[in-house]
Amino acid sequence: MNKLTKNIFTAALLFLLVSLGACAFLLFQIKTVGAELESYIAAVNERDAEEANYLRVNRRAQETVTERAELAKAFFTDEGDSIGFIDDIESFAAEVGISLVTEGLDKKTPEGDTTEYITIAFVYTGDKNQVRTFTEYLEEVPYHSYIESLNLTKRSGGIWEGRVMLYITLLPS
Amino acid sequence: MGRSRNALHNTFAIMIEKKHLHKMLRDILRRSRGLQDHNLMHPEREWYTGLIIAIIAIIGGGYLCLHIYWQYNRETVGTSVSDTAIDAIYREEEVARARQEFTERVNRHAMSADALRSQATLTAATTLDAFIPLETLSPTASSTGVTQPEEAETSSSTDIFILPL
Repeated sequence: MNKLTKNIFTAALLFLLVSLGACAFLLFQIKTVGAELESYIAAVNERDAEEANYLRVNRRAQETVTERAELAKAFFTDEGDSIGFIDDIESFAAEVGISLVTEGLDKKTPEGDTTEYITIAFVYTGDKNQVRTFTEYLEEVPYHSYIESLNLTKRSGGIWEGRVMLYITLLPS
Repeated sequence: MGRSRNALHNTFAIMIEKKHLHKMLRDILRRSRGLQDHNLMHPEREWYTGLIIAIIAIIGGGYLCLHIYWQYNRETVGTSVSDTAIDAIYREEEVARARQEFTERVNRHAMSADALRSQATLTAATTLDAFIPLETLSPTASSTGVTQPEEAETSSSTDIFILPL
């Protein structure tokens, strides 16, 4: 091996090593920048998803205003609503010839329940049909409600007495 | 034991001498050497070896570049919002069912109210019938004793005054 060959060999080896080093460095750079790009894209995707989600929820909220308002009407929003309700029931009872007394008004949260209720106790008298139909009338009041207890008593002269404990749901604030 | 081993060694040394060993080795080496290649470089062979290595390196590098290209080319900025998230917030079917139930309840309530009004009208008419002849009360009153709906108010109000008597 003469000197020229040795020089060429050394230069080729050097060139090869430098090329390999450059390739490794560039690959490393590509990987680093690529990882950075991936994290940016993930962040952008996440933000876009949140934005799109917000827009969809907002649109859904706008689309369902009527439905939600209709459902909200089925609840008492506060204790004040019960006054108007009792007035309506009492005036209706008077209109149809039923003697009605409101015996109690309270706000309760039954044990094991988180929902608050307005409880109203009605006592009403009339003939058998009137009491039965008025009980149905109270059972079907257009609110989210249920009858917790009902007592029907027959009085003298064909008069019946109904005693109802009505629970109406208070809309959670 | 040790003595017998030394004796055997001496016997072997006597049998195969050093020059014999050299001769044997020389023969072996000469036989395996074959035709000697006196060229240090083989340009053609090395050229092809280099070429194959270069081709392998180019193919490997190309594959690596393509792999990296595909990896980052697949990265796209896009949104994927799942419907389940929205459904969890707004349960449409339940709302529709609740509305339906509420509407039915309102109807049943109205029917009960109508029934009570009808009963009140009938009671008032019966009461009036018992005390006052229908012909004197209203010319449009029916002969069956059932008052027309538009007369309910009048009959009911009359009822209030008559019943205590």
